[in-house]
Amino acid sequence: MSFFEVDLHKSFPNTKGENFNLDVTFTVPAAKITVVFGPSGAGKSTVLRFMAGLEEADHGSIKCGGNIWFDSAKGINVSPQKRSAGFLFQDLALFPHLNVKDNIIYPVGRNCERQKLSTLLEMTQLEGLESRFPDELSGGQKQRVALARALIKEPDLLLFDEPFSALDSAVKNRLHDELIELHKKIGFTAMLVTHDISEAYRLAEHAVILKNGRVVTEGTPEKIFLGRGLSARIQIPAKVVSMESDEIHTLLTVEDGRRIFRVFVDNDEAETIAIGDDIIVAAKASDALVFKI
Amino acid sequence: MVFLEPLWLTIKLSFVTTSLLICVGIPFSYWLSATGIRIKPAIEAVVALPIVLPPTVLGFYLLIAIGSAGPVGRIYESIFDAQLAFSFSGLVIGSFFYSFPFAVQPMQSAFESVDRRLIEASWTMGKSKLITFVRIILPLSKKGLITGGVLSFAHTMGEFGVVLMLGGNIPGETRVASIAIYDEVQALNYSGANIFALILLFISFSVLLAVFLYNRKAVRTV
Repeated sequence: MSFFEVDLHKSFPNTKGENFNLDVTFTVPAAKITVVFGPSGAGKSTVLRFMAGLEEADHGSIKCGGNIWFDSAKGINVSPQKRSAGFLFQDLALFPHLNVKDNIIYPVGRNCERQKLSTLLEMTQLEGLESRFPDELSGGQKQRVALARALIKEPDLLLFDEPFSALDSAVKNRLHDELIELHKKIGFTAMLVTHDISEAYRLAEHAVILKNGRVVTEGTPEKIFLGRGLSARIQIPAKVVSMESDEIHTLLTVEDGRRIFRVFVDNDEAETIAIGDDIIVAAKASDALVFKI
Repeated sequence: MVFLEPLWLTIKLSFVTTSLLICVGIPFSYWLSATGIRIKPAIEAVVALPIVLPPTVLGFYLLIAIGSAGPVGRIYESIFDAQLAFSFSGLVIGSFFYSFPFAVQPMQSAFESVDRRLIEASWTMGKSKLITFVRIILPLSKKGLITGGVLSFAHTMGEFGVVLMLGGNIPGETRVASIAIYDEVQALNYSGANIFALILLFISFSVLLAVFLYNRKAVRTV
């Protein structure tokens, strides 16, 4: 299995009616989970829809070894039906009129091998729930059905559009573990979009940081997240109120809803940050000082 | 027998019209729900016209079209060597246009209410647009499709103005129950009119009750 080479460009009006330029080039390594991380409005979900063939870029290409899914120069745009991509939508898109079993086998039809189905049901812990309908399942069970349905056809690429965003943190953490475990067993190639830093760090084997429609950086999670202090134990979500820079440092004034505080960062770190951005102020536990008051 | 003939003709007209409306209405309303064509509001307005137009106006223009001097009527006569106006076939054409919005509007609403992501999910699973339509869109629109079909049936059963304009009052050919009621009242035979009226009332109520009961059940299961 080869890795995907993605190079996509598109101009379109965003939700505010302003012109938005998406201009991304990155890779999706084979048999790894690639996390595309970025704030809301960065263009993450649009990239995912391009990958699935649900939308078409103005120009660029999506290539995987000898396979070309999209190449504007050659006039190639393979339909979603022929791309061999599984898509997990944010709201999962389970078919409400089909039970668990029929939802899962929908991509392969009735001639699905019984052994394959039972293995998948076992791996996703859905045994005994085959005849239930989606509205009779918990949030976590729905996630597993959507995952099993996406996996049954063994697609070349699995696309996840923030599928865990609606879950509480306990269920989310459990499903992260299950996804990692399943990935170890099957070794699928996946691309997961999220704006949740902890989810990104937890699941990523390869990470792409997206901001304002552009790739800020790409690489291993260690390179990207550790370098940015995002593996830290202490994390405070906050919004940037103002920024002042000298030659070396930038002083960020931020507020977290309850208080306003100031943070010094290197100018390199502050390069991608702007006033109004939602950020996470992070510190490693070893750097923290605790005082009894 | 006197009572049965107009009733039988009414039911036959309703069945034929409803069948035609389902065959044409489903693809048309799906197209209307999915299209982004600029003249869509104008098309929707034309479709809805029979709801607000006096039936005699619709009947008049249809009579012009299907009469012996009209374009459709002339073509029909040259092919079948028979008159289209004042025939059962003419009634079917009139009923079709008169009940068209009652079939199309609920169907269109049902198609529009199907979550777009379910359709896209089916595509990404390798299913063609036709398979997606049959296996996802149609079952999820079932309630609206049945409502459209039943409303068309009930509406055709009770139609009077268009039928009178296009079909007149030919026993066994165009004399449907609503015309028969009018005839009986004109002849001051109120008890005869009452029998037709009661039967129509009973059938219409039963059909509507059945669809409401079905929709209630459908809400629970889908």
